[in-house]
Amino acid sequence: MKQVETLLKGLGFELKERCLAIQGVLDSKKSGSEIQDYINEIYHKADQIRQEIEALLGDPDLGNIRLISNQFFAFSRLAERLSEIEWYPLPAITRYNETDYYLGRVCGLLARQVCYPLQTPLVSGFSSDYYGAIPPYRLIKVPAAEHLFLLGLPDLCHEMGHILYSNYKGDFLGNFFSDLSNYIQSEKERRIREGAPPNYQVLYDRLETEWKDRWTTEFASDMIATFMVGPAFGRTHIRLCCSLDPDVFRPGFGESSTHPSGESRIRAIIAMLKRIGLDEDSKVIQDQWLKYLSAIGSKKPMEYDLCYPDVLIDSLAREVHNGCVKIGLVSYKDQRNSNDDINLLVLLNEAWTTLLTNTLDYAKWESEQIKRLKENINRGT
Amino acid sequence: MSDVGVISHEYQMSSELAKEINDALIVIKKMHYQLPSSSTLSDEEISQNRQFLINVLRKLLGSISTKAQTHVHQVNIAESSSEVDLPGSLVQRIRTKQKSKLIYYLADLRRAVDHLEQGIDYLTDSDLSLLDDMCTAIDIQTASIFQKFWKE
Repeated sequence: MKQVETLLKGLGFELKERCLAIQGVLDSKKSGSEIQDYINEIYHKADQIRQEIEALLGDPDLGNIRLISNQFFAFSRLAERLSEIEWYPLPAITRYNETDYYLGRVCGLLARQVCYPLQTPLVSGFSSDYYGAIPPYRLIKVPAAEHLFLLGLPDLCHEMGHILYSNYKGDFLGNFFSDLSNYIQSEKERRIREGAPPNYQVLYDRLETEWKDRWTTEFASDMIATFMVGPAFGRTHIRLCCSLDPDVFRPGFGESSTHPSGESRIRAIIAMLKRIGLDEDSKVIQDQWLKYLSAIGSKKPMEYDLCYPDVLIDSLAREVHNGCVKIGLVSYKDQRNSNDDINLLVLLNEAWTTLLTNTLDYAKWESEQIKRLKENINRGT
Repeated sequence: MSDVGVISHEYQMSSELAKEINDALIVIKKMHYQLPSSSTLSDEEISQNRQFLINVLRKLLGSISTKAQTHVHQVNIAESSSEVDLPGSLVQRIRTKQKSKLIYYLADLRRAVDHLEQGIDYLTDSDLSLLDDMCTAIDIQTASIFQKFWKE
């Protein structure tokens, strides 16, 4: 047991040294930085980890046979948290450049115009796998050339949605998990009545876990983005399916993935467009989607509809809409009366309309709009 | 599209719960085994951690028994009323592990809740072993989610 105790102590000391080194790097980046507040925030998170490591190492019962497993578990959580800092916010801070500054200002403009109730996220142009958010560190990563275009920016609203969902989960979920459990339960009972093989019960347990642990997060973030930026988010989602994710009916029943299917996500977007009173826009998006499906000849796999019933999507749309209103977000419908010099939410929708109605002139129009946006941002500096 | 947003949220939920369960169990074990640092624990700290573990066990009992009732087994167990939110994958992991002896496992859970409600001194070695197993399950679950960050 003494050897195990020595191992834990050694690993604990090494983790503390690593923590201090990371704090040193953060400290060296603080002075005069545009993102000084963000760096301070991450520094304090690292300091909290350092204090917890010291508490673990200073416990008089460190290495006691009754507690050693729990002490290793505690060590693992601390090591994971420090790794998160080293992998995500630290590189975003050390590489912070003009592109990140611009993206951060774009995000700040969006945040102001939708009345985003949290501190503006740090946006970093270093992503190797499309847009992504790391909510505990209010960090959003975007692909390296996104600052040159407009059509992908609605996905920034989706990532802001992830951060909002993480902070106001209860407000966005309402009674949804109860509706989910009732659906799963009624389906399981139906299968028993119909004499289906017992394995179906396990598949429904898995389906409930997919929804509860992963898919609800993604659907809710889509719905929050739709609340904020309206039909432009639907169009950006169709663009994503066309370019990077054409297998729109996966995952199906019995399959697992972090994201629900592209097809079900379109229905979630349409449900939210209807909730905010944009029925006409929802019909246009639906029509474009159905034509796309018809063009690619994609077919639903067997029992696909069991995974994403409209009753669940509508229930979640209702709860997320209530949550958006409760936390004071401004919906896209209310942006259209904005007096701002540049209303980014309106501009992103105009970008899509221009692309689809005046394709040949779009590139010129887009570069003029980005120039105007940059000037507007620089004036506000 | 990036998986990091979903993984980050899933990890946050799991790791916070894992830490809370582990911290609470450390307090309970320190008291039960009268370890040297137990004298520094306040009554409030002990009571809060004991209640937290009771809530977790009740929630687990409710989640597993709801699923068990749909299967052939009929188990008479009260619904959970606690505020603790257990990840679906944790419930699934424990359920799968205990599948062959689910009725006995549910009875053990119920007994551990009863003993915790009576007081830490009433906990038996098998109660503590059950709590340790639950702690190990959520540690493995959390570590496996975290691995998705770097095994994407």
